[in-house]
Amino acid sequence: MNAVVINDLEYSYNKEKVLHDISLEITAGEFFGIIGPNGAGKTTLLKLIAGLLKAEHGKIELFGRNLQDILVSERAKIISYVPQENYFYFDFTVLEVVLFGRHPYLKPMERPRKQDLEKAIYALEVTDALEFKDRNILELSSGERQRVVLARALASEPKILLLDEPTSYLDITHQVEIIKILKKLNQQGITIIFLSHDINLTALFCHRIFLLANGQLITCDSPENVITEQTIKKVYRLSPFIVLHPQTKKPQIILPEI
Amino acid sequence: MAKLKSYYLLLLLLVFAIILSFGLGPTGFSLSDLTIPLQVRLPRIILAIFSGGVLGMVGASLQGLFQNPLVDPYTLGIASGASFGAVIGYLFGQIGVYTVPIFAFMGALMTMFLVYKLALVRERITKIGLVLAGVIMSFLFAGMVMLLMVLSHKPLSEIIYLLMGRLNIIFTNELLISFMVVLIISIPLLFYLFSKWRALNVMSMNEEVAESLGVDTQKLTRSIFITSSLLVGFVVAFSGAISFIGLCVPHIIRMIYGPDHYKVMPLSFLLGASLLIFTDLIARSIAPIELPISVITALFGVPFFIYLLKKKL
Amino acid sequence: MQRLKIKQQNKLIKIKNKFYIFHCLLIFTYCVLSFVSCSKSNRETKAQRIISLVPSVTEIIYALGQDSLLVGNTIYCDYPEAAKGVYKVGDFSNPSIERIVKRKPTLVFVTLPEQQKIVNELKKLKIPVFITHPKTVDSVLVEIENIGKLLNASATADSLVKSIRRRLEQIAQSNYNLLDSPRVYLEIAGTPIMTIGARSYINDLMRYAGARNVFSDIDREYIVTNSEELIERNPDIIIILHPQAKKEQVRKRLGWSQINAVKKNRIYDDLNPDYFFRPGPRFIYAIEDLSRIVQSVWVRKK
Repeated sequence: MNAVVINDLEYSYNKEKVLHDISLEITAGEFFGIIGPNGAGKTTLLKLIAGLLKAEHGKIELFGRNLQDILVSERAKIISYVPQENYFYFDFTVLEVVLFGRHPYLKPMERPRKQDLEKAIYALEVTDALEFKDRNILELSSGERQRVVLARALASEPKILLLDEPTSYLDITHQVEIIKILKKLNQQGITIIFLSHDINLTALFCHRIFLLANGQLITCDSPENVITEQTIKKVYRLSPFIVLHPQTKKPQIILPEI
Repeated sequence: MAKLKSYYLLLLLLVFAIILSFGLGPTGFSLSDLTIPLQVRLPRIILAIFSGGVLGMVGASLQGLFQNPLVDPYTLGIASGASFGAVIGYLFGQIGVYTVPIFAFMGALMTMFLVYKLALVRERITKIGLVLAGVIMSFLFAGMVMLLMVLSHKPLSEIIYLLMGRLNIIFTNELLISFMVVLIISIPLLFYLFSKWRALNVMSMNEEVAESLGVDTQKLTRSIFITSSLLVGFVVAFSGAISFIGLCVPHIIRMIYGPDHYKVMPLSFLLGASLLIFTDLIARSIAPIELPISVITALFGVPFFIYLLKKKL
Repeated sequence: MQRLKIKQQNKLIKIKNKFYIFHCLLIFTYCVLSFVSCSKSNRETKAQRIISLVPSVTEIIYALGQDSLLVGNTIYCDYPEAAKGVYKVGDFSNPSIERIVKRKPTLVFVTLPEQQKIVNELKKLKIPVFITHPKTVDSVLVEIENIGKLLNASATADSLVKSIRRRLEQIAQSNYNLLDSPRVYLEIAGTPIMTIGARSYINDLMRYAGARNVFSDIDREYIVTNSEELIERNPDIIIILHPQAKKEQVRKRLGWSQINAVKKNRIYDDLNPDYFFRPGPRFIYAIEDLSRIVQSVWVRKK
């Protein structure tokens, strides 16, 4: 079963085409990485899948259904989107923020029910953030906040999780923490689409990697086939060394002398 | 439990304010003759509850929508437009008790339309566009009001009261009936604003997240803008541009009860209404000279607000 | 109670003192200025060129028949009809200094406090000014005489003042018929309701007509008030001097049915506000109109 199917997708901002003819299939349960240089169109692609932007050409299907035909409230139960930047303007508690994720399940005007509270607590447990459930969201560190944001996304019980550089502001300890959580979620059957600049991190645990440059698909394959000297040179205009990870044998890049 | 308590506390405050305001006045109070309290004080109390409550609640919902603590019901230009309309009505209108309220409301509607058109870019309303258009319109109408003030030879203090807010509008039965009609129209509008509490909560995160959670941010922005504008237009038509309440009441509520709009909106209504009744009591207790309401809201409200702010920091 | 009365009396005396000081100042400025302008006009034997920035002064100038000297006034100077045709230097609160200078005036009539800025400017340019701000009926008459002297029309001024004084005397005579002074509320604006206090010249004007301002205990020129305060003060007569409300609407104001004036249907909305607001020769009409109302409703039954 395919979680996401994309056919001939095109998109432009102000008449400037940022995505050309993207076609892609993501299997349910896959841990899917998207990498590419700045301005390649990664975030645009992610937002198109999330339904936040409307494709002008081409088709996106979620579990066999056309994205356009899915009601917004229903879509919110299938997909959770976590943007790169997460602002908070008011000092909600962590639990309140996570309960926002229950929005699609509630009728208009309805207060969160007991089962919503249970779902939120469970999401906080999964992301290891339960201990600060009553704290003010504005007082958390970046690492803590990222776990809360993940819990919020999980509270919607999504089948697909879209993440835009979830590790970009974190030190390696917290990066590893987030990745561990994502792996756990993936093992529970959630399809994860993960967008990152960190090629090595992506190569370590993604089943497949989608390399995007100038809005075009360069290659989409297992890490071993995507991260090669040839493609990296072509896309990033660098000549790095590619070595294999001593444990997982996944390709890792090492920058040459600068 | 704590939530319930907070409601009761503010409700109690409001009831206390109403009783105090009903009983106090230059003609005194006796149970045997309730004509003055009923005919003169009660309409004024209802006007204060309506104006203060609406300003508090609209302030809360707009601050939530724009995620900007500096936004108040007048940021969107409605008050300036209404003031402009009121001044036009005052200077050029026909004789009658309705002139100023009707012109003020027309001014509010006109401004709402202009701001909306200005903020519309490629068929989409942006929040920054709305705020910018509102601020620009505020400047424009404030300038036109100044121009009219300079050119008119009527007593300026009357216009100042109009701009600074007053609750001493003289009711006749007809005016009271039209005010009641406005009140009845406003109740569903207020309820509609309140019904958006969860969407507003979700909006306090990244707009895209709200969108992905199923909140139609375009529709929400549009509907809250229009609802708020209508309500503020009503308030300014009857009471003038009362300041402070719409800006600070939601802050006070959030400082005490947290940012959940489910609580913030109705509690802002209750506190706004109570505060305005108290303020009005002061405004008319310095009688026989009436002070503009905004003078008192500023003089008494700002120190209290500073105290809360310092305590919180 | 007794103490309160004494206090109020002291207050009144204080107010009167203030007025005396003000008058002395007024007369002093007038002396200096008339000296300056007279010596000038004598020396140059040139015709006077005067500008009036005050509608009431414009009316005085016309009443004295000296309108040929008038080379400029404001857009609010609309009486008599001919005053509308005079060169306009601007409006009442913001006359154009350039337009004033352009007319090469030998004397400019101004009022305080509204025109303080213009006075300062004119003083800098060494253009003589005559400041008028009468606070009582008497000072209006003194002013008419002073302006008469300034414009070489003393005889006309004296006869005008004499005729006004005669009419005032007649009204004073008829006031003996009154039970006592009726308590009058005079509304000058409707949103919010505004009236005048002890400092206003209209307060004095009402006294001459045999009426007592219900707000005469408040030492202010203008007063913004409210329904309940007025109900408490319970006037016998209500005068509406603005166009925003008519008699019928005033009667319908909630709670006002308790007021004596409303109960007895003594609300009047057809008086000319200009008679009241302009301390010029027409103020006597205001007193006469008001007196007529007072006489019609407040005469002692024989």
